[in-house]
Amino acid sequence: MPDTSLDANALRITRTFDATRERVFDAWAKQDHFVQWMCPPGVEITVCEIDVQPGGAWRVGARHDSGRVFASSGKYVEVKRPERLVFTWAHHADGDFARPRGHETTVRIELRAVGDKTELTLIHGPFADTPGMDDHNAGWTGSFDKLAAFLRRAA
Amino acid sequence: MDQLSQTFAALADPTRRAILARLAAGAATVGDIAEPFDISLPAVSRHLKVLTEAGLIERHTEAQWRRCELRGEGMRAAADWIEFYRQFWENQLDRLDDFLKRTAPETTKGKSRARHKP
Repeated sequence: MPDTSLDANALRITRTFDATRERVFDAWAKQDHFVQWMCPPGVEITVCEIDVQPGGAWRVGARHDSGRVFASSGKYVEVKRPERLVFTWAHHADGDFARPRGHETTVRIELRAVGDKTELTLIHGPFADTPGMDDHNAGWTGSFDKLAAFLRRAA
Repeated sequence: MDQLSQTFAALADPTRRAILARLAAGAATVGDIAEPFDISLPAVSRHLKVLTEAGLIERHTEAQWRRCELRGEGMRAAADWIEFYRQFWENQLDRLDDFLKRTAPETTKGKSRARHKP
């Protein structure tokens, strides 16, 4: 089972793939690869433009079977093949690229070689790259673990 | 700033998260909350103001006591957001796994397992 936990209010998911880091990285970074998997069943991608370089923009538009439309966009912050890819992410209101973007988050993909496999860690949240995030002391982090447990119980 | 951004901004501070963790154990007065922290009472009050505006806590005045407690709905919005993306990414990573298997080069490893190439 994949390891899923809350880390300082960001979502963290770790998954191991039976592929090299280069292949996993390219699946995110090459548009013709990306479009082949970045689309859940029942969702049709209507727009997919990814300019994978630091500062480059991406946008993905999609239409769900229900008729609901989605529009997401962001910018690549860090591109380091084959080990790291960091990009921002926000949804546009009403699935319309012309409408304002909502809460912006950051997605960080870290790839680590484990033998001939690749361990991918995905961190998605509001805290990635926030100044000061790395200086929590262990006590605060421990407190937050308790809070996370509380949130899971309350949810 | 939308409410969710405000909630996450409030949660981005370690002192405020520690205050929430304290309140997860039960309602407390401002004095109780301030006690473990090496910061002034006014500084704690400022943190409590941010948490209140973010919808994460509620403050009540009972006689001379200012009591604080967690507000479940504020927390739930943040937890729901995380849960939504957890399911989204689990699903996407399943699909990434399928994609990598489908497009695996013939030469990778000498595995005898049969591959169904499209």
